[in-house]
Amino acid sequence: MAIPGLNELTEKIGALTERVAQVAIDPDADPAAAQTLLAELQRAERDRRRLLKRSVERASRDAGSADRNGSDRAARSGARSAGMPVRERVLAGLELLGVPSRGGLVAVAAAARTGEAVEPRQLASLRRSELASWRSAPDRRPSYVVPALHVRRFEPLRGTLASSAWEPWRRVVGPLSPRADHLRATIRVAEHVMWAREHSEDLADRFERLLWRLARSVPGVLEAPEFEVGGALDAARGELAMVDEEDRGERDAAAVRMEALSPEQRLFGAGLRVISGEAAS
Amino acid sequence: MPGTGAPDPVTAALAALRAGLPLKSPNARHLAAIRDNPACNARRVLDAAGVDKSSLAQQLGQPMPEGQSIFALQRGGRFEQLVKDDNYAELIRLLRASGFPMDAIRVLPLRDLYPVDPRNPSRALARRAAETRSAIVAMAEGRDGAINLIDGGALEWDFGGAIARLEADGIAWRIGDRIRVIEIKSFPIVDGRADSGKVGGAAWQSAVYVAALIDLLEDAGLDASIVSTEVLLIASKNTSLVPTIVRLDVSRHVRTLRRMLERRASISTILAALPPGVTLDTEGLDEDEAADHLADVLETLGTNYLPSCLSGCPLAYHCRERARASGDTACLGVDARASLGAVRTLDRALELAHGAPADPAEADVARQLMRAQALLDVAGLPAALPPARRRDAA
Amino acid sequence: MNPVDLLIAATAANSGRARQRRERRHIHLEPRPIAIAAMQMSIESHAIWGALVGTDPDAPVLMIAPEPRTPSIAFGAMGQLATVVCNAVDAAAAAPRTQIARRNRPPWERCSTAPQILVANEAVVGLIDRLGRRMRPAGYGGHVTVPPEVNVAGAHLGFYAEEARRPGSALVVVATRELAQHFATGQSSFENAHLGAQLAWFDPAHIERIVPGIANGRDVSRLHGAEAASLIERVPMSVLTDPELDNGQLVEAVARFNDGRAGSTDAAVVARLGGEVADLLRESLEPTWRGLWIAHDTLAALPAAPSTAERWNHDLGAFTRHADYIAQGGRRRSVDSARRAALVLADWESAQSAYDRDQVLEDTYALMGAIAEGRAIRGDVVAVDPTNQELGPSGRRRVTRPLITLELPDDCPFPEGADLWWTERTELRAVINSVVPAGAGGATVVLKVVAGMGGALPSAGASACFSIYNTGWSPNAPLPPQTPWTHEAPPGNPSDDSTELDDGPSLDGLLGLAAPADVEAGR
Repeated sequence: MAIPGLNELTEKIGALTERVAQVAIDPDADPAAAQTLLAELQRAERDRRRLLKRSVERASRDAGSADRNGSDRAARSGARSAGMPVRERVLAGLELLGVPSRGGLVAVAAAARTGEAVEPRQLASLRRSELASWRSAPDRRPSYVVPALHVRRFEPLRGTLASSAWEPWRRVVGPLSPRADHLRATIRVAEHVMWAREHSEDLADRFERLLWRLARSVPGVLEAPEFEVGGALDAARGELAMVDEEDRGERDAAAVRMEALSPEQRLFGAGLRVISGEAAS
Repeated sequence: MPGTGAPDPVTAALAALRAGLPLKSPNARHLAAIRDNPACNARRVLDAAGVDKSSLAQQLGQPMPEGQSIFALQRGGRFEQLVKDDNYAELIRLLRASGFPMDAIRVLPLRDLYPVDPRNPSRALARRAAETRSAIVAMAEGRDGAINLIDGGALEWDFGGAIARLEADGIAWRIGDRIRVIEIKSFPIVDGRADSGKVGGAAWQSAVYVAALIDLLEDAGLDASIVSTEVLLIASKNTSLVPTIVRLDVSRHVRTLRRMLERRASISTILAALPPGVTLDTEGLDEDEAADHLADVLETLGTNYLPSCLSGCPLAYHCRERARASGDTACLGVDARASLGAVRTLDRALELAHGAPADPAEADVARQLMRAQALLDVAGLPAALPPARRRDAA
Repeated sequence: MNPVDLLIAATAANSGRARQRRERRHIHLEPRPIAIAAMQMSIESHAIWGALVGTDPDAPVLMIAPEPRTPSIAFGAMGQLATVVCNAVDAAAAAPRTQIARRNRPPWERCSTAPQILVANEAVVGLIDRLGRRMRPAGYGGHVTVPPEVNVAGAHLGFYAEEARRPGSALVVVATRELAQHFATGQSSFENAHLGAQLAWFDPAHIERIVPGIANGRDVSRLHGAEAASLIERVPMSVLTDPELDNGQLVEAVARFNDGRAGSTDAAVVARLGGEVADLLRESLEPTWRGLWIAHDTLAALPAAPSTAERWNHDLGAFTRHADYIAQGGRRRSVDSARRAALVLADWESAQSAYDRDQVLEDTYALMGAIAEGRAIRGDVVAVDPTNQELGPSGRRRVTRPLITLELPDDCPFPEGADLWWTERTELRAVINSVVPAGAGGATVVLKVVAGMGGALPSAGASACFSIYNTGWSPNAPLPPQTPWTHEAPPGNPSDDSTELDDGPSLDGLLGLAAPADVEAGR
């Protein structure tokens, strides 16, 4: 059950959040402009809440009617998770992508996977609460939302998320990694599309839209006469092959060096400000 | 060199000038503005000292309306996001589609590595600058595995005896065998052309970055010809936000900027010529006294009002007021001032036109003015305006 | 800068009031031009956000696109403008025409009237040009749906925007430009581009007419022009709204409009919900609207120069050719071929020369300016010898070559042998025979009349002016058979001049303002 307009509102909110953040720290900025941006952000968030509320109400009305064919079961398992905690949604999005990603993309992946939105405001507070939660009881949960770490000195990368359940090499980012990981995510999502086509049309639809967004920049995809999942898969694999080994090499080497860090640093990064327990991100 | 030991005398003098006023680093746009008014020492020194000219204007009692429209910010922000989203996916696609070979893309994400802390912005910027420098040097040396895309780079540039720290909105790429600056602007390109004011602005701004990159490499003893003077401008095509690439040749702009900087006195020379202890500090002064003091300091530094100042400098209203009060010929425009030459005020021009004795330097202009006055007198032309035919009176 | 102009401007600056720079008006004025005050939404440069349009100063029509980033809404406002423009053009084209005789051909039927557009400054001309560019091909690419009238009006607007740049043309009256041409204020041309700031020098009370209450109760009648200008120059009177207003009330009103319509672009919905934005934009446009008519009155107070009517006839001719071409289904290109560009340039150059010449010959101030710059001389006629004769060009017959002796107050800027024309009657052409400088400045010049001696000559005892200007026809320089390389577009630079501008995902979709269905479709 795709909610029309949800992705667009989510993106708008993402865009506005970044703008507010930039304007807030920009010494040149006009304070009145920041206020207006903030007001607009609040309006957009309110709109999305309204949209979701309407959809949820409609969904519960529809769910009351007879259960339809099993091909919708997979999609509705997503819908049934209405009320899934934010952190679970984010982790679901991260699992779908399989690579460290920026909040906006994670939110879109989360929505594709679970049918639930994630608001940027929620992402920001999640980063803080995950660290606090880990510190109070390390490893109580199977996975935490953590920042990706830079390959050199393991500084946490502001704005990029990963899952603590991933192997260390996957959570560090080297120079080749942004593009290489983008290609890996493209491949992974393409594989998901092919799986979903066998199981749920709605899910396949959502995954395909996500794939289109990721695959657009891979050479050969846009030029092809038709957008075709197999083609996108091959193109992404082709470009990845050029850098895969080198990227993995750098990240594996970094993973070895990470062992010298404390458990907290291994997950949340080194070079943290020791002020308020907030991750420097 | 910044960051190594005690500050050099120029930096110290600039800091003394700025006194307690908050530091506001000039950006490339400010620096490029030297071409508008190379003779205005005050502006150059204030920019070098990192003085916030808008707040100065407030204190002088002549604030100028500033402020950008939120609609422009929205469009610009959205466009930049479009280009950079998903690890520069669109940018990569555009560059490849334009024929640039893009093999392995190695990113240095300085914005993410060193997010700016509003409480102490210069710390992050200093680290970004240091990293940028190493990365550019590695780019130029062609080292294996060198970064080829810097996002959020910061460059330090000596623009005439003072160092400015520039945050590049643009991105530096090593593409093929050249290092290029990329600027992202959301104004529209229609029929292959765009608003020349906007394109010009982008060209001058990028020229500052190009000059800074060249200087950086030359300082490091490397061949700076690897820096391309062709800047890639990413703008939007037609009335949609579809990104498109435009190539701008800024070699002329770089040359002009350098020439202007060479010709003008260096900042240290300007500072050396000032009386000791010149400062913008107004501690203990009431509003009016403070305004007077600041006006004096500006005067001492040396302003050069031109009407074009009204389109870019927050101090323009103040300077215009002074120019009007003294009858500066620049009030009529640069052409008028150029034509009047040694005749420095409008009052003087009118005097000379009516036959007042002229200095040797004024002689030529005086003669022309007298002739012109004679022509107007002889022709018996009306002095005052005809009354407008008022619609409501008709 | 011309010393005469310098003096007039310096006098204006000193006195605090504008001064006349021309004795007469050199641009034709229609009593009821179509005045257009228009604003765009910040850097959304190819759409009207709001406009006040009309021929009646008391009854402007407000055209609004509350959300101009949504193409269909933007084309709503452009459609309204299109209707006004097309109606005006069609009415002029259908009105009884003037028969112009032609040799060996049936007479040409030239329109007797044409719409004249009145705008505040060059920036508005630019906006009109951009609107025309967007309206012309709209719909041909299938990205938007517009009535055909919009395409036609786009061609008209493009025509007008181009004519606005032709020297001497009166199809578009650019208020700040014409005021500066005919009057001098004591401020720079940069400041003069603000219509209110320029008008403030004419009568400080204008600022109260333009923005009632702007002086906060002060008596403005005794204000120096510069002071009055300072008060009004903060009020936007060009194509951009005040950024403070954008960031405050406008952005909220636009947001409420977008929330309320929830993606709908239906005209009735837009009209119903757009009231708040409309009110704000109307307030922003009214100062310019009022300024336009004050400018019109100010120019109208000057008596028209004689050749103004002939230039308007030329404009009527251009209008007729354009209107008929479009009516027959012609389409206007957006990008000139190299050849056409060269032709247009040559035409404009000769139009400029003719315009300069007409002003000098018909306006004392301009003549004085020409003398000050050495393009003309003025002196007392001390002697006229109408019967002087000399050997003609064939060497066999004697011909009459009257001699005129002029005493100039200053040096003669022309050498012996220079050709000059009498400003009173330009058929009379004379050659400088001799120049004898006088002791204390000044010179005695003898001119030999070589053409046009069959009419009146300057009279002794009067003063006479001779200049480089004459009204003989000079053809355009013939174009070289091959387009010079300077006029070729560089290879690999296709100028696709008929592309629809709305050829991609719309900004409103990317900002999340469009209905989801529109966003999907645009993908």
